[in-house]
Amino acid sequence: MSQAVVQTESKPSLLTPFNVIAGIIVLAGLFVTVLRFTKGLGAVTNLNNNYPWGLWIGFDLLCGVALAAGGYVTGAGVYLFGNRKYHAAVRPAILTAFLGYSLVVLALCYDVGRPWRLPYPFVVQPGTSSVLFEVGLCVMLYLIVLFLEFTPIPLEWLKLRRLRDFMVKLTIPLTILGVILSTMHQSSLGALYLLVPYKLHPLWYSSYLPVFFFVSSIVAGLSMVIFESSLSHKHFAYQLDERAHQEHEDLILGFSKAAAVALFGYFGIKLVGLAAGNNWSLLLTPYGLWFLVEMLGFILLPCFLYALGYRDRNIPLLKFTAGLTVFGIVLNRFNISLIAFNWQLPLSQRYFPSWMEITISAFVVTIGLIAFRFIVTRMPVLRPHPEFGDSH
Amino acid sequence: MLFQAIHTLQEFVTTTKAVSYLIAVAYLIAFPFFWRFLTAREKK
Amino acid sequence: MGISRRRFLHWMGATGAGLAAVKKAQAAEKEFHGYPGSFAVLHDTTLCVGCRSCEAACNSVNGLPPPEKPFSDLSVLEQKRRTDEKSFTVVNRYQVSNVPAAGPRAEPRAIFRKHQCNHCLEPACASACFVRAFTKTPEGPVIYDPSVCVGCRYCLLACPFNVPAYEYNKALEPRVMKCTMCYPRITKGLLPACVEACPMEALTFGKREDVLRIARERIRKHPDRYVDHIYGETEVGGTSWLYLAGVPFQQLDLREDYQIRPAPEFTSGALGAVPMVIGLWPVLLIGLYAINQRKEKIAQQEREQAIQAVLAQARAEAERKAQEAAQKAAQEKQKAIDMAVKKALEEAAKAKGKEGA
Repeated sequence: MSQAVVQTESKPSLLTPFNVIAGIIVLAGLFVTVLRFTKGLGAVTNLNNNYPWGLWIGFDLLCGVALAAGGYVTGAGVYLFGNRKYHAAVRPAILTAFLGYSLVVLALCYDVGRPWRLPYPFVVQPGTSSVLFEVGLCVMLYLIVLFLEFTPIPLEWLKLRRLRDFMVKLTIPLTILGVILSTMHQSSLGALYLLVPYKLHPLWYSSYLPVFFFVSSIVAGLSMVIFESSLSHKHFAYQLDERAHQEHEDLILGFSKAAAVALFGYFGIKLVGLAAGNNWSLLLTPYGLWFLVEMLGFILLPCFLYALGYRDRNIPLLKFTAGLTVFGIVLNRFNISLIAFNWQLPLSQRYFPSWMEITISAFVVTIGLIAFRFIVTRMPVLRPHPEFGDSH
Repeated sequence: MLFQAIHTLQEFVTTTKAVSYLIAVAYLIAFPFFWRFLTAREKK
Repeated sequence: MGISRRRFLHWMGATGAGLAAVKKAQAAEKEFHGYPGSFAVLHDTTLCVGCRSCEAACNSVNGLPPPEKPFSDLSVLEQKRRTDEKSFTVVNRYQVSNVPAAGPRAEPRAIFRKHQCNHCLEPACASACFVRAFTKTPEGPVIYDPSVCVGCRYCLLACPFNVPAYEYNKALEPRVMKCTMCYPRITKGLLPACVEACPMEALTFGKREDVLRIARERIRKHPDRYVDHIYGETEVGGTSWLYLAGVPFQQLDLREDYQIRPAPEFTSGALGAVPMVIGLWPVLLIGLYAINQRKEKIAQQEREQAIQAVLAQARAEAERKAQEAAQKAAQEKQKAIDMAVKKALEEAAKAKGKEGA
């Protein structure tokens, strides 16, 4: 990311490293977009009939939704659990979530064969036996909730006081609705894979998949808030005063404590999942060792590091652990959707994303970063609006 | 795990539930220790 | 041929229908037995010679594009193929050892099996589809409606037999492609094209109950020729394409670890939890919010009380000080008055003394 901070007075150079890289990715993305919609998925992806879902589902959908969980976790933490001292983290988390979910929908428009028909399950012919129907419905409704939660930000920027006050009044019911919808679609993304016991490796397949996905989404949300907040504090430091920096440290400590406990619980229920499957002997196979890497290196280890870092107030360790945890969640989603999926197929028939798929995924993330930066540098997200103050 | 093959659903459930209960108990015992480790240096 | 195959099967069907009526009365619990009288196909792999006539007929009847290598080219059998967007059905050759007394014209040590959609009684594709593009028809075939398909390809993921294929090379109107059991033909009373085309009678079409009965009869008559199992009778909840084989089905890429549980059962539990969450979460979360509000209120009250107490104390202190000060002031005043009076008296006394002397 750029080292050149935008000053309000002097004329900044547009050719910062971030802008250049982002620009290249955007151009490449636009090029691939044209290809995708003129030549079809086959010309752009390595998807095939054995691998109908690839990087766009495994990363943009599964990881995107998990990592955008910071919105409901922070909202619940502040408004429902009463931890008002973290209220400064709510707006950035809601913004990240809103952008995240919007980008999930954008990525889906690339992946499905006829994106203009995406509303069909809701307005033409609902397939209510399908878990995917429930995912789609909840994601759509939650995107609306996130948008409504986001509106005070641009409304303050536009100085539309009456409308803004009305939207702020909706905070509590929207937060509650957000937790309900998030519980359902986070777990349902896991439930999607309940349908394929014959294709998912037994160590990862479990009837508890929905619970695993839900709990790990809490872990992902907490870690992403730490991660994103640390990045914002570094790159938008000019917006923040001493009090904000102190609050930021308190946030990292508080969220790390919560993440340590959540990871401890997650590890426990994954053990129960192992017991329920009764496939202990598989742990000694290559896939089993990989499973242990995920369990020990990316669940138990971050749990311990979070606890240690919290105990010793070691902020750099906690920031590192947040990154490690985020990587671990991504790894878990990749394992279930790509690596442990079709595990019985010989290597020659396995899937690997094409450079064009990777381009679109990078393109989607880049658009998110650009939008985030645009909003954060103009609107009251990291610091309150002088005329409105702290809305709580 | 270490015994003969399981032939009925009843055997399966009995075995796996037994292990699950053991894990749950171990978890409940481990949790206070974990909590103590976590909050040991908090200022009151 | 005296009696046509179809007529014979129709007679069998009539008897079957009568028996099926009796069975229907017993289905009182949450057990489902599928549509009575639905059709199925029996594939006897001991009779298949891998001539690919079925592939050719299917291609023709469905208007599929011509293949790279013609159907008469049997070198294609050297590679294992799967169904794809241009082939609703493929025949694969399996080199197996210990082939028992195979069919009369079968190649020694090579067995052939025709792959196509198995038209499951409880199809995973139909369960997975979020726009209900798949339908298990009462007649038996599982059919696909491209007019609502969004192209999410969850059906490809879900199918335990890896049957559906997708037109990845089409940009605007890609469809899922799979065998239809020639639904348009069978509703007109015709046979599926592959069944009609097979020169070895390795494919038998009829009501599912009848076809099962035929299969059991063949096993009974020739126990040395067949493995004692009809594949598809119960696998994944039962299919409408049934297989007989002379070797373990696993060797023909028919997985034997498939449970009796039908696909929809795998996700019905998780889906059932959804209304529970909708019902319980609001109560729990509002309760949590209310508890926290109460805690905050009490904390607020205590804070206010503490402030009041401090204020009251301060006020009392101030009052006391004021009183003290007032008292002191009064005392001082009195003292001053006393002093003044004393002085005045002294002055008066002095003056008097001066006068008197």
